[in-house]
Amino acid sequence: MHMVPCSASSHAAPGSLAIDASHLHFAFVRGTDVLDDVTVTVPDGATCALIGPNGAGKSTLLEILSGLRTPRSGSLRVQGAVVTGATSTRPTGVALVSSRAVPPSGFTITDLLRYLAPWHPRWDMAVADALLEQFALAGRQPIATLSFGGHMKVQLLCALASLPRVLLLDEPFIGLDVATKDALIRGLLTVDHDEVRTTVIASHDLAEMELLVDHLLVLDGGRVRLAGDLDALRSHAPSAATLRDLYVRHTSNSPTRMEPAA
Amino acid sequence: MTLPSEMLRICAKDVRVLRWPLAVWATLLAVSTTRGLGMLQTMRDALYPFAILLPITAAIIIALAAAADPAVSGPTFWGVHRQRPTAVASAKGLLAMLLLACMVASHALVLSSHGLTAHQLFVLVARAALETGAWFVFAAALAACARDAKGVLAGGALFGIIAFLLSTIAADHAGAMAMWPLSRVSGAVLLAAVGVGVMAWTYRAHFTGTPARARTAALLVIAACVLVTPRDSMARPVDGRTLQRDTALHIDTSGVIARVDQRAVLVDVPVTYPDSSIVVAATTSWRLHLGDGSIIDLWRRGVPVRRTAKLLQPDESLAAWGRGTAQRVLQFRFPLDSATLGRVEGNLVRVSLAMEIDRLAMHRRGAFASHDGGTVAHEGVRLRLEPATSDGRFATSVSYVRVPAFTERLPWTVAYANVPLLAWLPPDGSSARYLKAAEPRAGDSGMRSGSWVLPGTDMQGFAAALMPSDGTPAVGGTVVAIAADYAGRVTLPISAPVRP
Repeated sequence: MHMVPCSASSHAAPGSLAIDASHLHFAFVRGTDVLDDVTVTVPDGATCALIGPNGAGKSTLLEILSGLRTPRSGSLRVQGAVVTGATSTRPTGVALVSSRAVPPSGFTITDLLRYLAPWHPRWDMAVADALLEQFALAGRQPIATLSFGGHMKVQLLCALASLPRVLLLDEPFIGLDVATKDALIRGLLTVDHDEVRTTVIASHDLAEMELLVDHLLVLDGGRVRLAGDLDALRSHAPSAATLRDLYVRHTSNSPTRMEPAA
Repeated sequence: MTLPSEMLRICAKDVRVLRWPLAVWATLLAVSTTRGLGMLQTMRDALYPFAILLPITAAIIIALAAAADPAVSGPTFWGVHRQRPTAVASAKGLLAMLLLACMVASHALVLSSHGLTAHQLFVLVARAALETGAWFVFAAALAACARDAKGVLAGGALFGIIAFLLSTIAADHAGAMAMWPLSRVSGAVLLAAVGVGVMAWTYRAHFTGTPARARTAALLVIAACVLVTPRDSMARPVDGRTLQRDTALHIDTSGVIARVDQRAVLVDVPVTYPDSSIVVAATTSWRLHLGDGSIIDLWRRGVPVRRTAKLLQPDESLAAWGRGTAQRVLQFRFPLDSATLGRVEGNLVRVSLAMEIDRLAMHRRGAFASHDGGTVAHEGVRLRLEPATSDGRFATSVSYVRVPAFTERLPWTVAYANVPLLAWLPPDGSSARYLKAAEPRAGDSGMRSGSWVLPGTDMQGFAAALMPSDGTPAVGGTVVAIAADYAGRVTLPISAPVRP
């Protein structure tokens, strides 16, 4: 495992960590660890790419970070609050966007936003309205009529309107066309200047993430293979200019390289 | 948000999302209530499917509501938006309670129109609410264990298959099933308890992430067992007398006579029983003891465990009405297969058996002259007499409506604690006749209504068996409404030598 010290974001106090996880273990079935001694730190304000092959444990890690799952062992602090252990609480200010969490049908988008607002103390309807316009969504459009991309937009919209301090995205680009991806990326980049938001994106769309991330976490087989500040990682490996290069170098199921014809 | 406000908000969401199915359900409820109140008489039979569809629709709605917020799949929308699992589960329960409350209110309204006492009304409504509520809990728990609506459908189909298989077995072992634990406690209570337990376990966290196969299987099997358990056992009222030995019966075990004819063993048991009783006996096991010391255990050889016999002719018990005790000989006939018959012929020395006798205590609930007209209502039956002819001389039409224990209950949960019977007593009181209930029509498993014409003339098309013994027209006869309550049980072993 190659670790590089993380640098704090310019928005955050030096050294403050949004996510501080140590020695996390998790298994669905006893004896088969999905996460095996995972230690992760993500500084405040960072945007971290979480990459790895299928079954690496990316989604499980995000679900643990969001408080939906409880690790078998290890410690976890999110925004300074202890998430695991006897005194644990579900972390506040954390939003998870997952393609598997389908919004309920029977609502219009606006009604869904109003329905969700009471659960989020920092909910900002103005942000939601702005994102509606940015995503080219009509508030009166029924959820049931949305495409898969539309569902992802709504999910991202709901997450961003809650003004999360930690935003966790699980495969946000899956199945989206180019225009929708651009809209999503624009949405992700929309951050109030007064806000410090830490984002972790788990995705196989490395090209899209190149535009967004400044930190990298590579998982493979439930273990951390590479983690740290992206610039620092690149400086340590000059030949690895892109996320794809780092992925290929540090995961077990690296794609076969296509050698140029002589 | 507080837990109650969270629960209310989620429940309101479910109502909104399921507004169209709820509208269908509300329509069914309105039609069923109107029908139950005696309106829409001309369309009564045609509207029967509405009454059947009502609880099914409600169960589907509850299942859809639970499946909309499952607890066993990956990250759900409610989970990622910080809704508490207890609030989600409570919201589903609240929706089920709301539907049940409306149905119970409708049922109470219908029952109150039949002139029941407050106590009768309470008992019927409470029993119906419990039994229907148990199936609602089952629907919610099954859906909670499913990942989505497809999973609910698959679970429902699996439930149907298990219930079908169990009912096939139950058809051959009804007697044995009546003895298993489910028949001793209310199946509805058991099902509701298991369903609530499954819900609580499933929603103990945001999601378990593991398949709920074990829970689902347990739920399905228990529900299927409750479904196929003989309904008279399942719905028997909780009554301290039920399991008590019935000391009112005297059974002369020393008088047992066993003999063998060409194809069966016949056993006669003299029994002295109180008047106004119906006695139903069954054997739990029986053995043939042969001269060479060997025993043929017919239970273990696959002969049905219980052989229930209709021990008394219906009119015989009424003949004894108000005339003190009566003694009858209960006769059992145990068929033998050819192989067994070959072994026992000329070699049978003794028969032993265990016998259970249930007694139904009969109570007169209403009686009036057949030509007086009018109605009498009691728990379970509303009776109406009208002259069948213009002058009322030759015949009287008797019609009844059996007040359903729950207007909209599922057909297989139709059960009655009491067995209402009608009898016709001619003026001399010597030859009482039962008015047999009409054969149930297809889709009318509860035998909700029927009618007869008292035999005034043979032109009425009545069976000869129902004609008065002296052929006197039924002028001045009395119609008696009777309820037979489960009064007690006695179990005794009988062993007797075979008489030549």
